[in-house]
Amino acid sequence: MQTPDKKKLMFLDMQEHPEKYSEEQIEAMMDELDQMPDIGTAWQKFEQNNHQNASLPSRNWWKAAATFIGILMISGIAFAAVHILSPSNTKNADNSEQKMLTAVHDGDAIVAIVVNFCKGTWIQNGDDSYIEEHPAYSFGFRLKSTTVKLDGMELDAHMLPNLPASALKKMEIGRKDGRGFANLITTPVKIPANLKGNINPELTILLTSVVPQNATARSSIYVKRGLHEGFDWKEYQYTSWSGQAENVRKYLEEVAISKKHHVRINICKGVSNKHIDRIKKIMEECNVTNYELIQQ
Amino acid sequence: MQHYAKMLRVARTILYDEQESEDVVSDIFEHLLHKQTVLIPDTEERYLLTSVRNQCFKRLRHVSVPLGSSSYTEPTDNYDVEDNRLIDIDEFVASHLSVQEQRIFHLRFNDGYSYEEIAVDENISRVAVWKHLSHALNIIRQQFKK
Repeated sequence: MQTPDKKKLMFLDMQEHPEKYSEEQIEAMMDELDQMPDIGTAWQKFEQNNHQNASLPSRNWWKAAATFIGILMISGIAFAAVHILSPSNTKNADNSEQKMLTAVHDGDAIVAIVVNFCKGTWIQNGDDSYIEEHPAYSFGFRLKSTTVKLDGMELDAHMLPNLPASALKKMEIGRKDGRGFANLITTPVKIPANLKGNINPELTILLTSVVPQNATARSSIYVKRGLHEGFDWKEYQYTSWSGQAENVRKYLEEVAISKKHHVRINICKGVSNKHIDRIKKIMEECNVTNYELIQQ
Repeated sequence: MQHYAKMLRVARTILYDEQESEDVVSDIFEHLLHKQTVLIPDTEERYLLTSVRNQCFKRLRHVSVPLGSSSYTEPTDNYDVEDNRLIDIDEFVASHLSVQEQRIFHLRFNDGYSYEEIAVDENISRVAVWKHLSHALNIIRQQFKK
């Protein structure tokens, strides 16, 4: 996109006085603003501009970030956030063909290990103990702050054993003497009979007729795990109909993994039939079969 | 890739300058990498798009000759020192825009929607989306250039 001053002036003027422009001119401007970027060229420019800049992190990291092929940025912040919960893709059938261990490089150095595991793996995370129910999941551990052991032996990140994700039976995560640890267990384990899965199969969706003006993130659709009767959006958490980052489908697809799922849809007064039809369609698309519509 | 495209889209809508827009996006990546910031998958897009939006408005405030010239004062690019007025954008939007404008503003700048996607979501024409968004941006620009 060329940006001579004249065109920039027109852009600003078109925003300040859209009535002065024809619909065709405005349409053309919108097409220009929404055109897809050329990621390859952008990367080349970045590389050229920063080739000599030693203070920059390694190029691989930037490239990974720029293209966002499974972004994995690991920080030394509180341990709870160190293992990055990466819902690999709940739509994937499973993770079993994937390698269990992958090294994350920053230039020549290995900075982290990603552990992929499958549905049925026992996860003991501090006091929280559960069976993984997602078809595929991954945790990343930063080596600077966490010791990763495989069956009791500390892992050499440069010589990771080639194991399938399905080999992992149990993962123990915690913190000891100021340092995080992750114990990976591939030998058979006896899972306690009372151990539960980590997906709550019950979900409540709230549809509002008016977007709450004083909400931090405004929407006409909200969610809350479990079954609830309330119609006040403040009791729920924000979601959206079709956003990329936050989307009601994410919750529904997760809930639908369980055959015993139950979704309650609380519909506030004044919600249009259009929105009710839309949520029904989404239910169908997400394979949620057991749901009820409750009118306020 | 989809984040990059959306980030650029947001920057272009505010700055309308390809080079500046690319700079804003690159700066954000660099900052994240230097800090090795955690991006939680569920919220990474919103974080990135909000960062772009804030950095663009921040740049606008540093434009000494806004029209007809390419010269401008470089922003400080100090991400650690937050401009309180940037934090207030959401409050400003909530108190100065109509409900529909707020929705459109958030769809464009928080969810990174295209004009087409917003038009479908709101059941209005693309040109109507432009007008609503333009009105919103005009009053925000005025506020942040003060």
